Amino acid sequence: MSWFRRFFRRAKAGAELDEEIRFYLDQETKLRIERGESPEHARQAALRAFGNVTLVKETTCQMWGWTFVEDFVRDLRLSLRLLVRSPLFTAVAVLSLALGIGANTAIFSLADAVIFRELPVRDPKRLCQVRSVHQRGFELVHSYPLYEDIRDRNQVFSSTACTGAFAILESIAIILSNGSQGPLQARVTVVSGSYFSTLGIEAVVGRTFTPDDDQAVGAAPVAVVSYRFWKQALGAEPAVMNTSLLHNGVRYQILGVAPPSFTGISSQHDPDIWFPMMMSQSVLSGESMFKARGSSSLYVFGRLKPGVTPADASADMARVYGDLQKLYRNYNGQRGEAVPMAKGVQALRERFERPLLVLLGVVGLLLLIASTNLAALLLARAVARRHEIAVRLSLGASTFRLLRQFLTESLLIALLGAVAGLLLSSWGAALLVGMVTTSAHRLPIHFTMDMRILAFTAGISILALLLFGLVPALQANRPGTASLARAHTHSRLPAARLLIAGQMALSLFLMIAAGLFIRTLVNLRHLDTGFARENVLVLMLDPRPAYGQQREKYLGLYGNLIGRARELPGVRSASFSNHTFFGGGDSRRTITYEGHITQAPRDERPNLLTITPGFPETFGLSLIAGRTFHDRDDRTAPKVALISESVAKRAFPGENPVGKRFCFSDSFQPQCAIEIVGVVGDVRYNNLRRVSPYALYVPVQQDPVMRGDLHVRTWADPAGMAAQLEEMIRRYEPGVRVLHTVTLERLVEDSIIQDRLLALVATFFAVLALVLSALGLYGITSYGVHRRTSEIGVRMALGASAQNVQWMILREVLVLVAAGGAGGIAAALAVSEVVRSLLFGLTPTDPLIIAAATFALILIALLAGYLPARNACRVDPIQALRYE
Amino acid sequence: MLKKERYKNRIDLLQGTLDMLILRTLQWGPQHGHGIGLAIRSGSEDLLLVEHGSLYPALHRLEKQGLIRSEWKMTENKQRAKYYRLTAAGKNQLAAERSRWRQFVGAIARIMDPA
Repeated sequence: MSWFRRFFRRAKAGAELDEEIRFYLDQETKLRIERGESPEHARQAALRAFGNVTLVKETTCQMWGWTFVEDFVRDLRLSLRLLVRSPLFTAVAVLSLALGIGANTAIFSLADAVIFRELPVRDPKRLCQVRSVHQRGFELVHSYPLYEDIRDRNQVFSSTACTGAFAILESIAIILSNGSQGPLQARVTVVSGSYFSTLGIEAVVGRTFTPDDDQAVGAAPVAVVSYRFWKQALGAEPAVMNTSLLHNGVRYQILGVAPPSFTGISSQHDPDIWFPMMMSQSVLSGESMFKARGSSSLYVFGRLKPGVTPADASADMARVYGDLQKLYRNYNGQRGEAVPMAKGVQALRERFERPLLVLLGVVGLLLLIASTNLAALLLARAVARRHEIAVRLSLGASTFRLLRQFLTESLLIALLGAVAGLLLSSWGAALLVGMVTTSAHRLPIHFTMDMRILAFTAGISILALLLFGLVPALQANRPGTASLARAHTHSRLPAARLLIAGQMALSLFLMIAAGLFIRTLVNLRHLDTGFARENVLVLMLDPRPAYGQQREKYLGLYGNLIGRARELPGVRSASFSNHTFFGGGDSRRTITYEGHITQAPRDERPNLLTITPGFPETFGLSLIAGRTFHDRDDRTAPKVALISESVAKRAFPGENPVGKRFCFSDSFQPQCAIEIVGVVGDVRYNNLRRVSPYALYVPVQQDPVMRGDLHVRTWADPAGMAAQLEEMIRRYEPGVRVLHTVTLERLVEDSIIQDRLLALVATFFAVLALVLSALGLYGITSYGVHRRTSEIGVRMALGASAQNVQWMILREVLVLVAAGGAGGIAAALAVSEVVRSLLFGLTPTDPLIIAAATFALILIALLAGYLPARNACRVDPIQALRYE
Repeated sequence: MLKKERYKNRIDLLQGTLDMLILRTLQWGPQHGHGIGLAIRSGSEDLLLVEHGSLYPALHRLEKQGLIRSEWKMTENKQRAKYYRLTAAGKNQLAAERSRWRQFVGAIARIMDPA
């Protein structure tokens, strides 16, 4: 553009103006000499008549309207020079800002991916998920018959769909036109034929399912794969239609590839392969879900008809459930509801929403601290530059120009901080995801530095800039020229001191939060889970490739696995079960106890574990009454079971439960009866925060399962045995695949990943905040000492002792700490209700933690104040008086 | 600060008049800055006390407005100097200002010396 070129021609124009004025003065001098004045006098007179040459030049240049940009460039150069001249200040300023901005961007990108981002589907706001509301909370998963009922009876959805509320890791072989590829691990799920069309998702290659692909059970072995699977496992093969997948002995033709942005409707499960619902019997190994109203594992959702609101849909769902209650007993005490699903399935998001929002708040406070700290530092610098400012003002600089100079400096710091912060954030976000990724689960969070995140970073940077840049600039410019010139004035810097006190408050607040979260973590870790978690290795197995679909074939497997494991040196005991405590899965069945008229209520159904006799020993369960299983409890023997203490108390209050019976059905009949032979202690199952009281154990020989975990209790470190055990399985059970090997301790630890994350992050930020505010306090105190050198000198000359002087300085520090501390505690108390649900085993107002945090703050503050105070009393009175 | 304000005020005060005087001076042909200043001073028989420097902001302003144009030329004494010259727009502007000035003077005169 021409203005750009003209801008660079300014230098030439300036030289021309110089020449023009020089010519004028020469001519005038010559004229005056011709009139008879002496040469020196003539020159002086010419200059006098001309006026202020510099000002004329400046005013002339302004006529061209370029001074604004020129001033900016000049300010920028001056700012750069100033920053380079004080590298320590610059480093502290940029680094603290970068940490603040980086942390905010990292947490925001995480929150953006998990909480705020809408599903990448057509018109996501028109999607609603169906959920059942019980008296005790709500449930999001439904059975297939219920899906059919909702699909057929609703009047509000233009289309409905369901999907498995899971993505299970399976072994898949790929069959290409020119041969096949060895099995690999992929996450699979089943969806109704209407799934993709309801969401409004088009395939990027091939096509997605149509309802025709999902008509009859087992009729259409087809699949849609995720973009990532297509890229990584299929090598982005364009002729994807010629490729098939082999899974559980069934060959599935691939129909198409989903778009890259789509990873399912839940932020927790990201399937690689979608199979039609009607193939679920093959996909999920024979567990038929088409008739069973009791087996709930599907998310049901629909797209609203035009003009229908979510409230209308909720009312309609309530009606449908009302109708169903008349037909089936399954829905007693339940109410149907439709909730908006624009951001995906709700419950899973809710799991991370609270911690992420708390984190977002924490990093926001951190940025506030970094900004106020910077403001205090800049303020101190501005006051130190009083002389310069006074001189510039009296030389004719306008207040506006000075303000701009200050802001330019702040802008430069903000810019450097934002760039460094952005770099930090991409690293920090990956670190955070790493922290919440457990051994068994990964978080399908896809970070992209998109415009939203860049805009967020820019926004908070500008906010920080306004905060730390504008306040000092205004403060520095406020006093009149005259008072500024008087270097004597004792500056107490009220604004800066207020900022420091605020920082102290924020630091204390964060320290209290960190203390609460750490204590929560400790409480959770030292909790008695009801089983012994040390020295147990868990191998999650999939024997189906070798054993197929018939349960009876599996009977020999369990004993063989346990026997071989026991032969290994270092193994104390071994067992097998369908699920492991804290392994993530659970099974529940309809159950009716002997002597009860109706089945147990839904929320009191015990968690069913099918175990080998060694299970109670391997897990160190306490036997309260009766016996555990032995090898004679096999197919031919009478059916037996163990129950947990709570089941005993709930089902048979005041009676001896041993010898009592129950049925896995909705009424008790002698022919299906299973006898209770023992009672074991309650355990915590999958969740440390609450006891899962209702548990039921049956021998695996009497109720064979096709998948499960092998547990091995070792004498020494269990992790060291992993390779040996995997090798053992490869040798003796070659078709059995090991999905995952992990210690029981790790499984338990993975369940409190959020708590660990909170404690870690809160501690990190609390320490950072404390360091930052200590720096700020040190800065402001030593600045104060410096300003008061002469006063201190006078005091000491008049007989004040070193202690007197130190106390004088420390007293001011203590006032700041007291004010800040009170503010911090008040803030902590104010938000205590928000964090209550995140804590365990203590209240948000735990006096010990508040006291400890306050003590730490006072200690650090005294240290930050003591160093300058010590310097203060080393002032030599004579020197100090000369100093002015 | 105050000094600068005062200086600016003076330019502002003279602005219309000084611009008109410059345009009037250039009516006789191209002239450099010193020549213009000299012409105004001698033309007013040194009655008008123009601070010489104030000429330059005015010249550059007029040039930006397109009323005058400048070029570097040699003087009779073989010295390089920037000469200013009226443009067509400048001539029109001068005519307009002149008639306005006459009205102004007439109006003031009628008030000061009512017939």
